[in-house]
Amino acid sequence: MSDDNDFNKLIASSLNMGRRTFLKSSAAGAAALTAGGGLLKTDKAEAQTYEPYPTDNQMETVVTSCAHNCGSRHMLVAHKKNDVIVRLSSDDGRYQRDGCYGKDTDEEPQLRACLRGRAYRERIYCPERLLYPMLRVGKRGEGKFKRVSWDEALDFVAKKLIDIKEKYGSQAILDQSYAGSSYGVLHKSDQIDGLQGRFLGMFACRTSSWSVPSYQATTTSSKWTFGTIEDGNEDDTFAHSKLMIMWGWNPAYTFHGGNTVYYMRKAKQNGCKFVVIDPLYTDTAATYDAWWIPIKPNTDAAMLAGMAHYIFDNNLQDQAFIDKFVQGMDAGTMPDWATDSPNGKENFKDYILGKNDGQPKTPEWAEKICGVKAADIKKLADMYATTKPAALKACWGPGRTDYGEQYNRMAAALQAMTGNIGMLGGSAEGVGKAWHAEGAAYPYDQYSNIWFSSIKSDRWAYIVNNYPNVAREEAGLWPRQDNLDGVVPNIRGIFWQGSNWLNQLTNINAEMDAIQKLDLVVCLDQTITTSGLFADVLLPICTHFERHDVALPWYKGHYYIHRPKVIEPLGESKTDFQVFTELAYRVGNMTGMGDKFGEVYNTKATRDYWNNPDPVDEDYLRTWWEDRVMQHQHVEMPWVEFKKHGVYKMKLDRPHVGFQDQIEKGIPFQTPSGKIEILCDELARISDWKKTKYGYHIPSIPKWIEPFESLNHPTKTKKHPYHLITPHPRHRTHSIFNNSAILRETYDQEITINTSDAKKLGITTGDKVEVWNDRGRLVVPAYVTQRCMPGVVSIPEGAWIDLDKNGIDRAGNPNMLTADTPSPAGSFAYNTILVNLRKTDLQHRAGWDETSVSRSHVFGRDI
Amino acid sequence: MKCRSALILCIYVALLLLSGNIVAGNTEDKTPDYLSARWNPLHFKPAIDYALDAQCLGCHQEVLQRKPLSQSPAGIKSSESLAWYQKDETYQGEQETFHRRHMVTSTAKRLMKFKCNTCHQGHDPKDEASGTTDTTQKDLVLRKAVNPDICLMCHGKFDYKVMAGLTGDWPEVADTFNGDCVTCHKEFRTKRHKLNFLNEQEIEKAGEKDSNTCYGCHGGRAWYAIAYPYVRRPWLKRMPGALPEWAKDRPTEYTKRFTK
Amino acid sequence: MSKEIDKAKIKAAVKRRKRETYKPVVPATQLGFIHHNVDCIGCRACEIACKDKNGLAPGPRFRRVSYIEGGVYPDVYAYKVNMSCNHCAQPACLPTCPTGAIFKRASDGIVDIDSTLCIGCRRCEAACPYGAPQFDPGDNLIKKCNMCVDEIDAGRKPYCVMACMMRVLDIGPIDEISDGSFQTTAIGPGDMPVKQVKNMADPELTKPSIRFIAHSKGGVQSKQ
Repeated sequence: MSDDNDFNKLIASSLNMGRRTFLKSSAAGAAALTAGGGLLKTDKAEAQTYEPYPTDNQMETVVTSCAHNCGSRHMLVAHKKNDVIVRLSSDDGRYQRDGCYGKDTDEEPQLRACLRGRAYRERIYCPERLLYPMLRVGKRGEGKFKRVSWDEALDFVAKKLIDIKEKYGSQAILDQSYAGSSYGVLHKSDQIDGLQGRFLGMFACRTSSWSVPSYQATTTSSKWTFGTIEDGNEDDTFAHSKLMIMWGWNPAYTFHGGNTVYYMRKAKQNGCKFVVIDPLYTDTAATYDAWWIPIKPNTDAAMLAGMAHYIFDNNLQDQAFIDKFVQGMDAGTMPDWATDSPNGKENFKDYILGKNDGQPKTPEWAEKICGVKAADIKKLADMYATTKPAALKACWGPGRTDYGEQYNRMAAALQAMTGNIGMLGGSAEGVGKAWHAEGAAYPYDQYSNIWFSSIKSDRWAYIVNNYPNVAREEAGLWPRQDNLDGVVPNIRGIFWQGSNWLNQLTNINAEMDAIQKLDLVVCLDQTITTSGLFADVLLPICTHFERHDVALPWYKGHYYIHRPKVIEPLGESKTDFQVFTELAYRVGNMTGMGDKFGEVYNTKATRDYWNNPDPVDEDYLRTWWEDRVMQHQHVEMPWVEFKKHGVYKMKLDRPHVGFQDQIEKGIPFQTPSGKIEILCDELARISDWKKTKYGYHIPSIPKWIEPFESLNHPTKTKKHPYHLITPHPRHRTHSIFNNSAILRETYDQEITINTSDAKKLGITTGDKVEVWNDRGRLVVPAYVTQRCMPGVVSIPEGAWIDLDKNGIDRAGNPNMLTADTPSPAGSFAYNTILVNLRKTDLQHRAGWDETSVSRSHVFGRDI
Repeated sequence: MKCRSALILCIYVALLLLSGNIVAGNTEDKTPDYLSARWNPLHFKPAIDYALDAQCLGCHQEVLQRKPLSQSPAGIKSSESLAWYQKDETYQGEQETFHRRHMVTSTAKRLMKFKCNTCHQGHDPKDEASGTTDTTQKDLVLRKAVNPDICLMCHGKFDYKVMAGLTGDWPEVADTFNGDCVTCHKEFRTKRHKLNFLNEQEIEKAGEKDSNTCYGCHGGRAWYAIAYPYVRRPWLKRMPGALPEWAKDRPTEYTKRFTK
Repeated sequence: MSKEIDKAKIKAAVKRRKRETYKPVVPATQLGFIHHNVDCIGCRACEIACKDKNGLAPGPRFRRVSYIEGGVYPDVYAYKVNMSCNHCAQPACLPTCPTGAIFKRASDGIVDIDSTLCIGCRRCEAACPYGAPQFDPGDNLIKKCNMCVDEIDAGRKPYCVMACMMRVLDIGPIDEISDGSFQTTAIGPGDMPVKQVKNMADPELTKPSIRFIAHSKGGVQSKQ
């Protein structure tokens, strides 16, 4: 592209800014408004005091929780003095019903927060916090803003919205809200039941993003196979497993549930054997003394197929289970209609044994693809087929690949053929979502999640950059029953709420191209983010410490944690709900609807909600607790008592195991056939793929499909010989907390390289490494280790991009390199990337601030 | 301190915003590359063995420049708060940091000739532990930039139990020997202080002049509960009986790098 | 002649007064830490909880989880060693302190520091064999773990222990931890506490009040 250079210059001049430049540009606006005196409230904020040292007993104690998009949700206890949180502790057993200090039973374990939660004051009181509405004054992405009043900011947004909808129609605004920083039952950011989706949908101008970056592969797989994404066990069931196969699962980093890692320690003590299949010898593998099976990334389905072959070949499958509960596992379980279906003629066993394609999927065949010795594949298959109960936990990371859903489906096939589903100590995960928890306290009604177009989330930049020359299958459009079906949206504006998607979606260079083409970019967040730098309007949102809500784990764990307003909102920050409610009133009054829009959007509130949200929030939450939690979840504790305790831990009648009722009581699965569908009804009946949201052909049974990039690729590996995986870091929740220097002190943003590869490249630990492919470049320090499979390198996702003048990311965000070409079934291809690397002298900056170095710098320095 | 800026509270930031005293500027290219500096090969074997003090001090100059505070936050004046061992006549001058005490004070310069790598033998900046990465040296002591065995050579316990003729700690028995170490050490352990980080002759001179100098190190500043297992010399004929139990495992030579 | 002897005696007496030997406090009960090196996932929640409690900027870390790894691909191993201040029976830091800022509590043996009395001479930092005293370049003072004495005095356990998601870090009377009579989740069935792990400085130097459950590759033969 001829304008590449110009564009790079623009980016160079924008993202070069350190935090200081940003603050300076904020200062320019702030200076004009100092007379308002709105800042004076915070002058008690001596939260870093060492002396005098207030003890916990001298301070007020408020139970609340952390709030990130990590699958866990743990208790945080704020110790506050005046209106300042001085420190945070976590659950110590005191706060629950019948609690006492130190109470920590298997049934009601303490909900201890991880390092990210414990660092939350770093987010509340950080220099990156957004305290005032701001409007862009420089170029988009340059990071220059001026402080404006809420009036000015909201009117600007409202007018722009109306204008864009008038000109471009109901698909022109792209909703990119996500569960980043705004996760509670009331103040919620999400695609399906989020506050932003409700606002834009009611405004009748919304394109939604249907594929989930984290786990679309397993979501798709579980819906096809089991008819639901609630395929999971509660984490206490892991203590009952005799064999735990952790496929691409590293809960020592992700935490992934209230007490998952702790219950698995119990399993270990009970004699459970652990196996970890991962290109990295993770801390999870080390902790559980696991048999580590390193595997080439993006080849997991092949290894699982090899295991399936061994099991069929040795007749180790649980045939009774298959005959009773499974569709399409073998000839005997094929439905009658399948022979006449366009896409469903083959059964799984025939595929595995190579009946039709002449290629039996033997362990030896698999070894050539996945790099795991055939003998190990057989050994693991034998262990899994002969140990009961055995949990094969097919986690999400290996599914964040091209054709990632085939890995999850193949794992589901193994779970089904060994009969380890619906059994205590077994596993059908998968998604892993278990206890159903009453997740929405705000009005979730016919006005929620209205959309006029829905795209594969990682296709947005492609659509914008290539509009109108985009085919519906390229966009991954969700089918509709009206005249908008198949209409590729002309996206003219973007809304971020609790979302740093510019940083977190794939192929950032393409995204930065696309963002410049838009007419409106709005960002609601608690801190400035890399996305926020590209916004036209920054709307400051208060943290969950500054508003009233209730938290619950959305992944594993069965409890509710009350989140009172611990402190008053900092600066002029407001809640998302306040912002969208007020926007609804403004848009309504500008478009002749009057107050109607606002009143229907926030049914319990008047327009005074802007100034005084507390009684309304209390009303929503109390109603939710009394009508839903108490009614549906057999909770007897009254709202007032719950508020007093701060936490409610459920006692379940029996350990929650996914599909236990289906297996024990014969209740049909939620699939069309009522069975576990290894042959998927939906897929088998499809003949015109272009009209599906998938866009392209998908086999109706799990199959190994060669990915578009892998270490087995005959030509691509010549230019880019290393396979990069981009797992979750431990010290951030995706990109949240990258600005915390004390968290960056615990872990480096680095590239993990095997010793032999590093030796070839002349790289040692601490060297700076340039990593590149055709999509972008970045610089990170090296961590050279025997714990990584040769040929594979790993960089954790979530670093905040920080481009140098040549467009090279100094922060080391791997999404500079990832591809925006998803799997047909929607899974993001985060872990399907080939790269090359070399030692470099280019600069690396782990953070925007001057303490961007990690580790102890124990001698005084004036950097 | 600028280096604390990431933790400054929002109020502080707000105040900065108000006062407008944040300096404008593009920090790019001015930021020193700390990452490269801290992984400089000079920090590891083998380069560290050849590192010159000037090279180390190029970055770490503050260890010799920095002095203790003149008074503590609670108002204790440094000059008036001397430990007992600092009131000893072997201890001279004002309060100093331990680095200066070992390298640049007049006593240090007279009696010792420490170099940076006398003590510092490598240090893993990734985690301050040996074995965190594949390519760093394996012999580092967990959580220490210096192996405490080096400190122990001087700061070990005064082990009177292995010293023939002594019945108690030196302060208790010194009178018996007229307060004079050399009374006996004319005979025992006559090869002393022949190490490359000590000024042997100056130490011997100081000891002959005043035994307090000897005790100043050997017991007076005994931070540790055990004594250093000093190198065993060929046993004197006049000593009764066989080699005592405590001496059997002792080395017969000093570490080479201290004797070169 | 007799005059000379008298002189020498007086001189000796004067010197004797100056020469002192530090006698460590022997507490009623010595509290200490126990950490399971294998079952620790190394999440460093304890470190961050500690930093948050003590209001520490980047740099000083009272608690430090070390990551140890070894072996050759694919036969590798990894474990963690978690240390803060070991509240030694014979602390090396204490006698070095010129201002008396460091003291050992007679009730529970906690080695505490009053950093307001510190002048930042960093002697204690050098003397400690385990790297416990941490220099804070922000205010030129030494600070260190005091086992959260405020929490101990309130009848609770320190922040790091209460932060442990795996329940592998705990405190208790060190004698009881050693002989296995102390009930704690840090020690699993069949685990034997040891005084020293690989690469750790000799515990005989200061008799640290800490025990570990060592990794099979991380033990030390002679110092069980």
